[in-house]
Amino acid sequence: MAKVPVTNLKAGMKLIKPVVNEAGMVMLGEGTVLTDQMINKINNMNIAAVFVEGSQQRTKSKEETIKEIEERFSKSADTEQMRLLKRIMLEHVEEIYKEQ
Amino acid sequence: MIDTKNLRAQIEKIDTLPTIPSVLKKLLSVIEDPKVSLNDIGSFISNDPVLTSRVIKVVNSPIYGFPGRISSVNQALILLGLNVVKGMLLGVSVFEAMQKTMAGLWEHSIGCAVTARIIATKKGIGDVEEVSVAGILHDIGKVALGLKFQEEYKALIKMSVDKGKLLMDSERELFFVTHADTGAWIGNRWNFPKNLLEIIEYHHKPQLSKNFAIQTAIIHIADILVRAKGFGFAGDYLIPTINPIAWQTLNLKDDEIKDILMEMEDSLTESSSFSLDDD
Repeated sequence: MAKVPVTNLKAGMKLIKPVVNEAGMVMLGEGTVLTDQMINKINNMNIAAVFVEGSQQRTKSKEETIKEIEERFSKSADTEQMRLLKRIMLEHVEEIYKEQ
Repeated sequence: MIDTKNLRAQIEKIDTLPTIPSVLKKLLSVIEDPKVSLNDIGSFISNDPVLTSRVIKVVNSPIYGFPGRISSVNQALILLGLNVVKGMLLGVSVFEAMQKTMAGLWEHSIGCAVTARIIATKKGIGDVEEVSVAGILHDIGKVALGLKFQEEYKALIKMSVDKGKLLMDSERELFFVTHADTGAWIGNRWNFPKNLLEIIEYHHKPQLSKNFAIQTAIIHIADILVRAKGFGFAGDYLIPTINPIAWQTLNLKDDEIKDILMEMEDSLTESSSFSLDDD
């Protein structure tokens, strides 16, 4: 499952959650394969993002993300809470990359 | 070197700077009036199409709890209330002036607003709308310094990044105060509500917040989590130290922190499509 900002939608993507308008009415059902026309319509709907099939697109690799976290924490104080947060952050990264 | 009294006077006069957008000047004259009503604010926004589209865009973003469901300014005012709309308006207008000096501060602020909302909801503490507003405005002191001392502040940010220092520490060396102080000054001048003033002043020293300790702790931790996630840019690439008292106040368990990070992952991907630019 991937949550894609409406500005990044491409024809051929398949909805895995329905697109609902402001009144709560289903405009496009689950399973719909998006066309350019539908994408235009979604872009005019005051919606930030929709759920489509596939994995979350990430601009960085897991290794890059871990390296950045290490760097960010490298200068932080060596306290119990900071060590805890760093450990949880690294576990969190494992989790979000496992989802793909 | 600038003495503190003089600095404060300059920061408080910031709305007279030529670089301040005219819409912000108009806005300040409306919201500084303590007797301003929902109707006044509503017609002020509705008379300005750019402001109207921004308000609609922001209220439908994940910062607030109604994604894609608010279609009019009046609806926004009724659902969110006067203080929230005032804070949000200030946010969108003030940060626009800041984009050039410190790109990424708006994203950092949105990130804090979203994260503060997630923490408050998860723990069932603090007023969700109030902490969202505080998330947007907690670093307003950086905007104040950046607008008043554009070149110096840009250099200060660069130096902090190059030397691997917290911007806050660099600010103290140059100005003898930090953005938390300048934020409180300007918030005071602009009649911010008391909780907001206390959060802005103490978001890096949450142990000093006496009347709004929970809200201040939420913003303190939200700020740290957003930096840890690497979302937006707050002037350096470091993570301030977690204050043990704020940590205790929120009493977050490992699993709760993981859930919060996961919710941030979802909401912040959504927010990244949301910018100050009008499309």
